[in-house]
Amino acid sequence: MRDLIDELFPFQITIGAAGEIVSMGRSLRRVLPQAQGRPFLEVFKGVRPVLRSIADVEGAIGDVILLQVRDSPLQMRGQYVRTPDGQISFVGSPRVVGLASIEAWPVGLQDYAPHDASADCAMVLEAMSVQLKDLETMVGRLQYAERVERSLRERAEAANLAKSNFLANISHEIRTPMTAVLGFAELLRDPDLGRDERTDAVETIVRNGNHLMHILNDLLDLSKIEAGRMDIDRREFSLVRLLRDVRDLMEVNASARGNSLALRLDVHAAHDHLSGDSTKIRQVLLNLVGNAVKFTKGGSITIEAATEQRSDRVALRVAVKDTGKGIAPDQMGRLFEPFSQLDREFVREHGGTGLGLAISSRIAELLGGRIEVASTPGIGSTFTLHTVLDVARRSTAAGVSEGETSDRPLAGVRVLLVEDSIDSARLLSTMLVKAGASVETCGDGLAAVEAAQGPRRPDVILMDLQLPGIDGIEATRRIRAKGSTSRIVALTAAALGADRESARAAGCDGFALKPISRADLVQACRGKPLPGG
Amino acid sequence: MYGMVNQALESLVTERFGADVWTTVRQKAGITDPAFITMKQYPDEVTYSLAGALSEHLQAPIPDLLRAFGVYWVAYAQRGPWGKIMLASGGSTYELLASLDAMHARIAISFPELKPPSFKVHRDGDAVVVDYHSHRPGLAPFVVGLIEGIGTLFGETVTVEQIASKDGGVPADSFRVWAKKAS
Ligand code: HEM
Repeated sequence: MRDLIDELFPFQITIGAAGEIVSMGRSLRRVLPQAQGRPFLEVFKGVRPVLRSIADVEGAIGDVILLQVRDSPLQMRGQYVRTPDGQISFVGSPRVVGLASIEAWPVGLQDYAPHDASADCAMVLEAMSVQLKDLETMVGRLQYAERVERSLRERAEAANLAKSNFLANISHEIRTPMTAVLGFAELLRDPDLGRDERTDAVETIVRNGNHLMHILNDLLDLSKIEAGRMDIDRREFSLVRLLRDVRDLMEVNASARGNSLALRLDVHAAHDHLSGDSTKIRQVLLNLVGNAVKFTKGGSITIEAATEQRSDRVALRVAVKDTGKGIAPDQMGRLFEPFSQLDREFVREHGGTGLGLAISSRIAELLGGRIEVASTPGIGSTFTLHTVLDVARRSTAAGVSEGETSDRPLAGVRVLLVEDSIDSARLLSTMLVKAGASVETCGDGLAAVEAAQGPRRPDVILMDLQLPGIDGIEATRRIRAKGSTSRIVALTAAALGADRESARAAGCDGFALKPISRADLVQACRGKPLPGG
Repeated sequence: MYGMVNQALESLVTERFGADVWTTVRQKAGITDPAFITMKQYPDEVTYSLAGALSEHLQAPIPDLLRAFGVYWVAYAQRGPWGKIMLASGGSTYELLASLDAMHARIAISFPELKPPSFKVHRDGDAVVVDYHSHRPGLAPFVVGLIEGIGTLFGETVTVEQIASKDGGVPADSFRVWAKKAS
C-alpha cells in the first residue's frame, strides 16, 4: 500500500496529530531529505490559505491548496484529505508555470507521477508562449512589409508628381518656341510681306527651331541618363588640351557679353595624359562655362583646373568662377532639378533649356564625381566639377580629338548613302561632297546590299534605318553576312535606345541622329565617337 | 509537417546563406505566408518544395541538404522549448535513440496531430541498429544527419552506415550506428 501511494503521489505529505511530518512521497523525500519528523508548518508555508496553526490545515480540507516550501521557490498545488486512520494528508504536485519553472525548481519531469497532467500543463503553457512568440514574429513581419509597401507607394507617388511637373514644364518650354515658329510661318504666307520682314521671320523660325532641337537633345540626354542608358566611354586624352578647347570654344560668347575668360592650370605634367570619358567632361564644362557667360555681363570668368594624386588615380577639380549676379540661397536647392531656371525671362533672352545643370550634375555622378556650387548674390558663383580619372598608360596622348582643321576631312573617302527621303539624301550628300567624300546614293535596302559589294566598295555606309522594303537593320545584317568590312553608320530620326541596340547587334559601327550637323557627320564617317554618347 | 520543421529550415538557411536566399527560396517554393507557425500543421509538400527550391537555388543535391538539416535540427530543437525533453530522454546517443518514440509521444501533447516516425533500436555488438519507420518518403539522409547531430549533442563521435533502404523493398530504412565518447 505504501509503495502504491508512493508511486501514485510522489509529492504527498502526511501530517501527524502533533502537526509533525509523518511521511512524504518519493519525490519530496528526494527534494527535502531532512524534513521527515519536523513540524509541517516549519517546512511549509501556506500561500492559500494562510496557515497560522495546524487547526487551519484541518479547516482547509476540501479546498484548493497552495503550499510553498520555505526558503525555496517550489510551490505545490493540491488538496488536504483525511486518511482512514485519522491523519491529514496533502495530495498534489508542484505547480507549473511553464517548462522554465520546472527548470528553476529542484524537480524534474520524471518526479511527476505519469498520471499527473501537471507536466503536460507545463507543456501546454510552454506551447502558449511559443504561440505568442510566433504571433509577435508574424506581426513584426507584417508591419515590416507594410512599411516597405508604404515607402514604395510614397516613392511612386512622389515620382508621379515629379513626372507630371516635368511634363507640364516640358510642354511649356516647347510651346513657347513652337508658337514662335508657327506664328512666323503663318506670317510668311502673306504675299505682301516686305523683304526685311520676311528675312526676319525666317531667322526667328530658324532660331526657335534650333532652340527646340536643343531642348529635344537635352531631353533625350536626360532620359538616357534616367533610364541608365548613358554609357561612359574610356579614352585617353590630354587634359590641358581639353581645357583649352573649352576656353577657345567659349571665348567668342564670353567677349560678346563683355566678359573676360581666363584659364588657370594647376595640372601636374604627369596628370595631363589621362584616361576617361573626355567627351562627357567636356560637355559638363561647356555647360558650366556657358552658364557663367549667360549670367555675367562685363565681368570675368575663370576656369581653374587642379589635379591631385589619389593613390593610383588622379582627382580632377575644375572650378568655373564668374562675377555674375549670383544665386539666392533659397534657390540653391533646386538648382540641379530639371527646369529650375531661376530667371526665366533672362534665360529666354540667352537661350538654354533649363536642363543643362540637371544633365551636367547627373553626368558628373556617372563619372563618379559631383558638381558643387558656391554663390553670393551680387558677387558671383563658382561651380566646381569633381571627378576621379585614371592616368593614361602611354604617356603620349592618343586619340585627342582636335578641332578638325582640314576643309576636306573626308577627302578620298567613298561613302554609300542609303536614304529614301530625297530631301534628306540631297542635304547629306551635299555635306559629304563638301567635306571631300565621293558619294553614291541608293533609296532602299536591297539596292544597298547590292551596292555594298559593287566594284566601288564603300569605305563608309550611311544607313538610314527606316527604309521601304527591308529596313536598315536587315540591310546591315545582310551586308555584314556577305563579309563587308565597310564602316556602317546607322542614321535615324527616332532616338530610341532600342534602335541603337539593334543597330549595333546587326553590325553597325556607329550611330547618328538626324538632323545631323556637318561636323558630326564627318565624325560619324571617320569613326570618332559622337559627342554626348 | 508542423511549422516548427519549416521554421528550422528557415533558420538554417538565413543563418548560413542570408535572408535574401531564404526570400528567394520561399518565393520559388510558392510560399506567401510571412512566417510559419510552430504548432500549425502544414502539408508535407510545403517542406518538400522548400527543400527542392533550396537544392535548385544552391545547386546542391537534396540528400546532402537533408543531412545537413538533420544535424542542424538537433541543435535547433535543443535551443527551443522542447530541448529539455530531448535532453531528459537520454544521456547518450544510444539512450536517446532508444527513447525517440517516447520522446515524440511526449512532444505530441503540443503537436496533437503529430505523425512522428518510429525508431526501433537494438544492440548489435558495440553498435546499435536503428530501424526507421516512416510513412514519408526520402528522409533517410535526414535521419543520418539527425543521428550525427545527436552525437554532437553528447560530445560523441558517431559513424552511421545505412544497411537497408526502403527503396530495396524492406519495410524500413536501417542504420548501423557506432558512437564513442570523443576523447
Ligand atoms: C526536441 C526535439 C524534437 C522535436 C520537438 C521534434 C518534433 C518533430 C516534429 C514536429 C516533427 C514533424 C512531424 C509531423 O509534423 O507530423 C518531427 C518529425 C521527425 N522527427 Fe522529430 N523532433 C525532435 C527530435 C528529434 C530527434 C532527436 C530525432 C532523431 C532521429 C527526430 C526524428 C524525426 C524524424 C526523422 C522526423 C520526420 C518525420 C517522418 O520521418 O515521418 N526528431 N519531429
